[in-house]
Amino acid sequence: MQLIPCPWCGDRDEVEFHYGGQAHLVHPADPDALSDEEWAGYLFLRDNPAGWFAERWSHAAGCRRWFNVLRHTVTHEVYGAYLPGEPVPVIAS
Amino acid sequence: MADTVATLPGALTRAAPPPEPPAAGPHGRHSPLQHRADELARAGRPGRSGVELREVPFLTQFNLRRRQRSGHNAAATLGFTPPLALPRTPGTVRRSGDRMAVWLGPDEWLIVTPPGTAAETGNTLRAVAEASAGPDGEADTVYTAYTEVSAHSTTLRISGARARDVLRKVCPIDLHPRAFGGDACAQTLLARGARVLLVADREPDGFLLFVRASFADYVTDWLLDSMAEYAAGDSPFKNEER
Ligand SMILES: [Zn+2]
Repeated sequence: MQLIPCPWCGDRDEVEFHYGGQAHLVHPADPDALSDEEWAGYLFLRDNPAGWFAERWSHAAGCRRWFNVLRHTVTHEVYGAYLPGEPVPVIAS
Repeated sequence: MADTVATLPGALTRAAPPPEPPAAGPHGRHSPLQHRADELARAGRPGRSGVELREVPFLTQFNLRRRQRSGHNAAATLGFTPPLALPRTPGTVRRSGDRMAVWLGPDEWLIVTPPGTAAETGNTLRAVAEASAGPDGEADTVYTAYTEVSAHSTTLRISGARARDVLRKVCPIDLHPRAFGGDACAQTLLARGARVLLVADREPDGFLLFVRASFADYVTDWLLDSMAEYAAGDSPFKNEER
């Protein structure tokens, strides 16, 4: 079981959360101007790194807030949580 | 749906009549766990090493949302007598007299007042909303919404020296007094599926559990099962009270 750090409630079991996929996707400013291919890309194509990934999570069974988590998809290590609108944390190596 | 049940093709038998509803409790209403009051009373064991479980029905509950247009938190003090401040710290409760304000989110609280006080609490929240509204569109404009949610959930009170042990079996929250003190609250999953709000009660070793009405029986079943070994008495303790 992974522990996900809610910025408000602290570490909680993964089962309390909903996974929201890749973070920092920007809705196209003018969707009408996009080709079908570009629109499909916005809707369906996501990064799938073996490594650090900025993800959206919602504390569905707790405070019901959305936030972002920088998580390693291979080791499941969590670098940290941050609020929507904040930049991706820089990982100190 | 018709009140008949088909058993064989062409054969219709009368369905059993529905059981009589239990007599209404105080305030002319039925609480979700009213039909299990005797069972709860029998299941516990009072005393120093015991645990007791009771329903606390009909608490008045209001959900309060409040935030500034700028996105900043807009806590406030509610004009009850005595006044009740909204907690700003996540996972904490503020009490005043027999009322309490429970943190649900950075801009969301649950206001709990005694049964039958919905009108008074609603008026108090309306006054707070009107006093702080400010001109629409300004950065410091505070948006307030309050909704009565009393019927959404009922409350269980679990108390006694073994209350923590009972909850530990069904709840992943760290309930050690250092981590979950007298002013603590947490929203979490109980018994793998039921969303609950757990609030430390005034009295040490006591907890209030706000449970959705439709989940109340399920949570009660789990708690009674979890309580069974302590209710029967446990050997490491001297049970003088037995
Ligand atoms: Zn949370």
